[in-house]
Amino acid sequence: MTQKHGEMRETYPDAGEVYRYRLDESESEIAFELEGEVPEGVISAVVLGIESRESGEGLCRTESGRIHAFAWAWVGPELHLWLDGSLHVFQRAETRRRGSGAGGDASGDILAPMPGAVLEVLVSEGDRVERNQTVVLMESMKMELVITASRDGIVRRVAVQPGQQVERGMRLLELAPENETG
Amino acid sequence: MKQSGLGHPESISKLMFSKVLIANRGEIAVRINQTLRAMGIAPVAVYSEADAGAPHVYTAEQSVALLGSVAEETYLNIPNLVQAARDCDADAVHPGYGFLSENPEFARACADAGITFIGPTPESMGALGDKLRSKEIALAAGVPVVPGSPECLPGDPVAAEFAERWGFPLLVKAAAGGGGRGMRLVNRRQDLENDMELASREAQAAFGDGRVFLERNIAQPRHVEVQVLADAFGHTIHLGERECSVQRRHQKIIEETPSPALTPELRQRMGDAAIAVAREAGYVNAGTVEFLLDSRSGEFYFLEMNARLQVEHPVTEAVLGLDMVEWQVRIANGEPLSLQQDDVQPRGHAIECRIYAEDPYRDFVPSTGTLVRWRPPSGPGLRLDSGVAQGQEVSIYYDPMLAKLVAWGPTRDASLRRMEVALSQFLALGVVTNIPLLRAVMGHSQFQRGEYDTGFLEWNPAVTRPATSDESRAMARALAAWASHQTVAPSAPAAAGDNVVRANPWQSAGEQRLP
Repeated sequence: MTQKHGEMRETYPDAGEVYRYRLDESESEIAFELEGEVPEGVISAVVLGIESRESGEGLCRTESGRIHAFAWAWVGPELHLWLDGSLHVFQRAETRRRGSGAGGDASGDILAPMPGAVLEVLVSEGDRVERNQTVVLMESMKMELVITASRDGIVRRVAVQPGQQVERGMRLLELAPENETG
Repeated sequence: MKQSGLGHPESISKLMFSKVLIANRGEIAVRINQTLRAMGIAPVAVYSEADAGAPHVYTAEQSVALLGSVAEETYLNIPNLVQAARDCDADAVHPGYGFLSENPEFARACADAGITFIGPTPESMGALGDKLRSKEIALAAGVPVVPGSPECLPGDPVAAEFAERWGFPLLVKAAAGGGGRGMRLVNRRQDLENDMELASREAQAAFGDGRVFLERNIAQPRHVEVQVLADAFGHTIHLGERECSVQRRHQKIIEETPSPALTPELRQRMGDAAIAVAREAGYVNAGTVEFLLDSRSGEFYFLEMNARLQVEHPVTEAVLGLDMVEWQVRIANGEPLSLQQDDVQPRGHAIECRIYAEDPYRDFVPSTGTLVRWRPPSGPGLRLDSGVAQGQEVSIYYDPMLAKLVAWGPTRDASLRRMEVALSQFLALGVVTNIPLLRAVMGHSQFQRGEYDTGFLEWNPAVTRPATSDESRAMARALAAWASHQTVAPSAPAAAGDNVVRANPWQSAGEQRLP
């Protein structure tokens, strides 16, 4: 029997707190113990097969005897888990601490929410913008996307031009807080 | 005289096409390939650089590469598509839906090259594609229409005049549009100019035509459409209705037939109206007449006629046991439609769910990535029309619809239950999909009672929020922990290179910000 433990965090569909786990693995069964915001529990699992280095599939049985199908795959540093038809996304807690995570709220960046093309930049460097003001128009998947400022501020830098292709998460604009000069 | 079955036309008078080029991609091109092959016709695929190796290419018998990846250079490029059809000696072209399917210039260019276009004539297509002319056709056929303004560009005073007369809310729509693109609900006068600008820009990007028009908004309507089939000899029948009221962003995601909203009397009136519109337009081939239905008053209004095969045609096929594409091909080949209206007797109930690569919990934002795992369900009464395969890249270039899942059952209840089970077994990993939302709709009591309209998702915001039980959340967390030790995450961006950076730009964007 081997024991493993660590810390993870769910990021989708519900963003949760970091949870700690302990695994006791024997040949046919894996017992789980979870600590944190979820109740502790023990589940048996049978692995059907790991078909690649980065993904696999299995069946598990709860204490009530019910069988559930699951599958998983690493997508970058995210672990995508499919369970009974629903998707859950996790990150190892250690990984998450390395970067500052998604979104542009905390810093001054406004990021592309999905890949696509920039149609129009409606502000220039030095402009004062208000929260929810439309700053960039993008097109993606044949739809127009309206990108708004996440807070009040002054445009410090415009990082893209109309016509430019952008990837998801790429910086479109950099905002400086309103009280900052320059 | 009764026919023995709907799926087997008896008269085979003409020499059938031997080769047909499909000017499309994705699930619809795959689906057309299937029928053509079954008819002994060789399907020819065209593909963009982004689609090399896609299922619609390897299910065809022959393929022609189109240079480029964006739609304008490839699936919307009339000269190149006609040249491809010529080069491979195709007798006919099937346009599928979307792209050039309702473009009269394409139909004309095919005809000029001596290639049969599988669809209506360029003339009736042109008339129906023009929203205002199509309304005139409906009125001439004695079918009521929703009041609308003339087509205009943003800033035109006719828009303000129309708004003055009918008040708010009203709809702004793309003149050349369809599929909800360029469509916006305007609630207040002060938003009119801005919303028209946005709609016009979206229309320009999607259709190359920035003209828009305003339309009176019917509150809480149902979207019910009637399928028609017409041959070149003036024989026109309808194939019953499809209820398409579950929509997001004015685009359908769930369709069913029969509609839970129709009485036999109303069904007959709508069917007759659809036939009248098709006749008035001189329509030949398969087409769909869309109506807005006020289910409380039973009044219906002509919306538009789609001069092409519809995304949701499989539900009609499921209850009638016929192949719509086969009829399209035969009619285009000049065969008479041997079906009579009395032959159309639907059996049971069918429902379709569109599987999209999009996040139902974040405003349906499209999701891209590699389909690491893709295992659709199978079982009694199920049909899957899919345009993707495991390992395929879901790119930014095209519509995010991955597949259509159809469930048939002897009753509506039975087909809904089959759909619910099938969705729960639909394994897709690598992109975010709308499957959990579709399941939530199947399980919703109002939907189960058939009491819904086009505002269903807005009235029921709970459906667009995650609903995970504590038990399944705990199980997911435990399994994720375990799985994270069985396999390894791709190594860090710096070591693994560009690939991984693209797989998670959030992470790299976050790191760039760090001092």
